[in-house]
Amino acid sequence: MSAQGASVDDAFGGLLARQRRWTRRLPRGWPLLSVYLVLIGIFVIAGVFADLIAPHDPTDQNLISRLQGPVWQEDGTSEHFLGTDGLGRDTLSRLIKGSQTSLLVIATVIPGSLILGTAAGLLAGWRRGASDSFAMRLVEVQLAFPALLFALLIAGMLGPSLRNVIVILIVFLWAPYARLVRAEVLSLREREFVVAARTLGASDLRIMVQHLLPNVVNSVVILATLNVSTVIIAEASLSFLGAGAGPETISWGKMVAEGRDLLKIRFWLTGFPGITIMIVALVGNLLGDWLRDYLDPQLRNIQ
Amino acid sequence: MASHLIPRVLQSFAVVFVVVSLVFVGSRLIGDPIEAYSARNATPEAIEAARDRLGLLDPMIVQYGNFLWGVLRLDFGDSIFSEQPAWDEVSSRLWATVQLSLAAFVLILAIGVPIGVLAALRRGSVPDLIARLIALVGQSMPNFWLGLLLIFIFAVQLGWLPTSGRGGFENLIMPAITLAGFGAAAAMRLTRSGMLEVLSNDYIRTARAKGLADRTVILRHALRNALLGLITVLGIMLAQLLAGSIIIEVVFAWPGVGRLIFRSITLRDFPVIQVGVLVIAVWFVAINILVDISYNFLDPRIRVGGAT
Repeated sequence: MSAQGASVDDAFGGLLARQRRWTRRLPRGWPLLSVYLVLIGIFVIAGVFADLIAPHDPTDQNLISRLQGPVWQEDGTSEHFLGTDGLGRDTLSRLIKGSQTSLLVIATVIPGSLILGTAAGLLAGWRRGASDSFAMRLVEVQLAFPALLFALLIAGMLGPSLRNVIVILIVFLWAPYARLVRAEVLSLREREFVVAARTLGASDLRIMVQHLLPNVVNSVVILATLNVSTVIIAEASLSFLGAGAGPETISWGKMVAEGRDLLKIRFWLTGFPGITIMIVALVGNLLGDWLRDYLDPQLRNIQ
Repeated sequence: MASHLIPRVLQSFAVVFVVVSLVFVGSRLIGDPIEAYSARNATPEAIEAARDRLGLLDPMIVQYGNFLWGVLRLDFGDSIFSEQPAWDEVSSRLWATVQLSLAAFVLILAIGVPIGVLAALRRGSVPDLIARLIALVGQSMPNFWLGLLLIFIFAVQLGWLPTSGRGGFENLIMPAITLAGFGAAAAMRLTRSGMLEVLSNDYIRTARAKGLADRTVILRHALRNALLGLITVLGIMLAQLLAGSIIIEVVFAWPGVGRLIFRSITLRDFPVIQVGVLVIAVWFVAINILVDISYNFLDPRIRVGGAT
């Protein structure tokens, strides 16, 4: 994260000082990119330091100050900047605490499914044969089976818990990586540098890790970035249905569900968490699109 | 072509069988339904009698055998909650869900595909940028939140449409739009990129060079080939809509299969869960086969390849 933070500083430093010299070195579309990075920075900082930043205890109930509007409405106070819910809990603090949940899910599901899928794709594409057809059948079944239904069943069996959500999402999201990596490996394996490595007696593992992996990293990173919105929306949907985060966890999806009964009189209780989910997902998609254009303009079919 | 499809159909039956078996195992793990339903002062004898009546005391393998035999006769036992046959519970709601899914699918085709084509033809223009931005926002919006937003604007604030339930056409509008939202955005982006790819081909240049009207080039040469690439994705989309409608049906209190499955999971009403999941699995598999067949018809290259 610090590397990305530094490039934002560079961007603004360049803007103020010697604009020409700096901007020429920056990647195309850097002004928008820096906006994305700032938003991601806010999200990550809010998630990591939630307990320090939140102005109130997000679980603190106070029935006297319940159902306050946000500060710009007449019944709002600066004490509760975004208002309070039906139990008098501070909405802003709950949003901040909720970003911790989303961050945890993203930080586990994305690397988990990425590693699993990339490894499977490398093996399937390089070894071919039985492992290939087995992996691809599995991918087909997974892509065809409705994940939401499966997750609901699991939650029904084991009760709602964030851990189950994370495991289910990893199990369902490895498949696109496997398919993508396999397709790229199939074309890479005939290239001269791979054939040369093989002729020189490089082991399978060495070829996969040293020669094939670096060549698929770009597309994998793009897919992972675009997956951020998938993961965040999936977690929110499950939590909304009561099949996601457990009772003691604060989650944006659950906040939308809690505010739903009060939709007619207090729109903002569903509005704030909903908008927050949307912004984080949107930034993920925008950054993914930007990365795709930047790293590989020819990669259009990645989804 | 038939010989190409037979293994495909057999494979599909295998998939349905695996799903059904998984659901059987899963629904038995959900927990004891009798515990959820019996009155607090029920005697142990009464509870035991209820278990016996539902066949829950039989060995697992016998229960599984009975279950599979029941599947073949569409007899899944009675709903534990409503005490009606589980198949009737699901089939009576099936039309509501299919209606919602098809309405959403029509919206996806009617909005996503044409806008995608237009955006590709006017690449880089202001309308293209706006369409792409809206599609991106649409793909970033959780559908339950889109549904609540629509309810708030059009039902609560403006009072134009009913908030929930099923009835006339006006009840269908918001759930269908909500269910279509993500798919329409995805279809637009995919159509656009598919069209751009096709338009860069040599045969398009040839068609233009020999003086064909723009209209003919776009409709006969470009769109047909772009749509070919889209069929698989649109098929998967149609299949996903039925499952995706679970959350929409909950938001809009739409009396369909999705809401029934959701309720049955919380009530541990496993006969109903089994039928509901089976119906969705069969729908998935059927759509996949249909996509394969239509692909065979539309793309001569595959038809030739399929014969070998």
